[in-house]
Amino acid sequence: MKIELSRKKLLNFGIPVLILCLVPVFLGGSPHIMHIMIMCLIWAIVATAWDLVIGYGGIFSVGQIAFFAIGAYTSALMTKVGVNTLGLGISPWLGILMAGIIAGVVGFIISLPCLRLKGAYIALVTFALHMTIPPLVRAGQPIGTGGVGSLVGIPPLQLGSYIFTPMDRIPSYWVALAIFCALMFAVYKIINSRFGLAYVALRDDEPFARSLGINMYRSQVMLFAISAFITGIMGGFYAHYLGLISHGILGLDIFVLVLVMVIVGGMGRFPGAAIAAFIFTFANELLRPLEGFRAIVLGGIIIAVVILSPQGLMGIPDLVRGFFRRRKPAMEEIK
Amino acid sequence: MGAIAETLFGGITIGSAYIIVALGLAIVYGVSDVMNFSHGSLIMLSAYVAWFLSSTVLAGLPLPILFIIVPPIMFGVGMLIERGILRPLRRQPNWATTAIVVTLGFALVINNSLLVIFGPLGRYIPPMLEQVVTIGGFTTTGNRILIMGVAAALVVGLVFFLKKTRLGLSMRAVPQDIVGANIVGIPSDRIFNITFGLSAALAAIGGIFMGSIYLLAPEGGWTLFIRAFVIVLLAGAGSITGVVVASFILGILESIVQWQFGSLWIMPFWFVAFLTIMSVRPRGLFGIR
Repeated sequence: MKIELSRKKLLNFGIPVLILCLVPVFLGGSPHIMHIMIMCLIWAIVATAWDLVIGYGGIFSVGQIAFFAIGAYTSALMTKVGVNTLGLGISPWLGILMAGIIAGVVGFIISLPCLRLKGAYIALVTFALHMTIPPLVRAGQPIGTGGVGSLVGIPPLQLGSYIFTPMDRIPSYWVALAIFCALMFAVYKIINSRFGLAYVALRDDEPFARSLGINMYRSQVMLFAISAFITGIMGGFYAHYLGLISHGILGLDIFVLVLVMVIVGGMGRFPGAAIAAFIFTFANELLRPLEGFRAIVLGGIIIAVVILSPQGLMGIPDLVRGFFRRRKPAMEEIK
Repeated sequence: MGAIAETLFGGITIGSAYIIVALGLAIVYGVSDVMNFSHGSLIMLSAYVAWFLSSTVLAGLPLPILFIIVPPIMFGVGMLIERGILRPLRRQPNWATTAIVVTLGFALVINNSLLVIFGPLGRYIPPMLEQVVTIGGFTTTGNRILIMGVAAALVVGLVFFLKKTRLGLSMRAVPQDIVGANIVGIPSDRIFNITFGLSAALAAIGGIFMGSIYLLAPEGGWTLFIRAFVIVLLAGAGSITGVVVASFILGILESIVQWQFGSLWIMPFWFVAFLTIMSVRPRGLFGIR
């Protein structure tokens, strides 16, 4: 029985990873598609981390893209050398780690006052964090944030003597995939630990969970910081992959796109947000010709999904099952 | 001395405009606990409707006619929104969060529809009273005096409505105890529906004025929403008194910051003020829940 279970687990992880490993073999010829695939992996992690906070923590935070930007800027500022920089010049790999740490620390500090509040108040405070970054970036011109423009010339990742330039999409894809697998596995472990079950208990029945001795405040602060850490790492990778970053990343379109992934994926249904990230990163590219109508379509999708299937994609099987189950007793009553 | 008084007076004018903008959001939040993220977009929508009517169908007629036509239209729109996208959610668990998400999606739809239909160019509704007025040494426009008057009238009218009429009392009963309200025969669904309509009608009044103070832009709804959002949370659980006090505090703060540091710093100062007050009064200035 135990072997059976672990084989099932292995398949659940192995098949998606195998498919993702085969992507470069079949689609490697098109740099554009490889770029979209890398973006899919990045948004999949950001959406999953956001879902940890919204879906599992039940905390309506809107600061996730802010943590992403904090990570990206941290790593970029720490690794870049030259005039008007911090001049630290650390390795990009270390930079990515620092991106996670700094984002995690900011998340921790923000969550301390924030999680004393409830509902809409949390949304406002985290949104304030989101709004503070563009002025800081503008004011940070002397240390190399790029001011009103973009921060360019971020050093690419390097392995031995090999340099991952933005043009070699396939090697960058392997790096992204490795980070993706590691972080997805970490999130999976968190959700299925005692620690993770505590969140589900808190979300579903707060007074009962607290009566069992779960410290709600401390658990939520921890979750918030972990989520910010994961997002910061992805932000750091993003900066080194593209080689440039601007405060445009905090614009409404990316914010909404990632939020749509979380919601369509099904809040609090683990791999859902990641699956939705793949669908919507591609859908967003396909919808590009619609221009102005694209955001209308995205808005419409949000409304439709929340009303029709509150559990998102992951709720569709339940919805179908529920549909048939509801019919049966009615039939028996007629008899 | 003159500059300080001038700044304070400017702050009171801005505060009055914010009262009109925030009242609609506060009343929905107070009655149904829904933070309507599309409120700013509803204001922009009504401003565009007003602009469109005043430049086509109603061209040549006196502008105050907009106050008779636009709010009832928006009242209907508000009721439709509540019926269409909020009521289905009320049966679900943690629906306060899903309501935020849905209204956010709806705001996107409105903003981008306005962008597609009217284009990104700013539009302008001519002010109702154009002449420059001088009162006790302050120079201002008649339009701004009118906004102060309308804000005062709305606050008094709304307080009277909530405290003295049957419908208003029902609106206050529902959030206090929804089961109890249902038992004594208050149809809570109907109350939520009317409240949302009323909120949209208030948004319409705000929209008509916003179009005459600022240029209309499809994305302008977000800025208005964020400000109304801060004011309503600072006020505390849909309190009307709270909205008045919070609007004046933030309006005067905005005026001072604009004078001393420039408009870029308005929002940072707002958030600092917000966090400071919230750390002393975590439920907002006049919040009880």
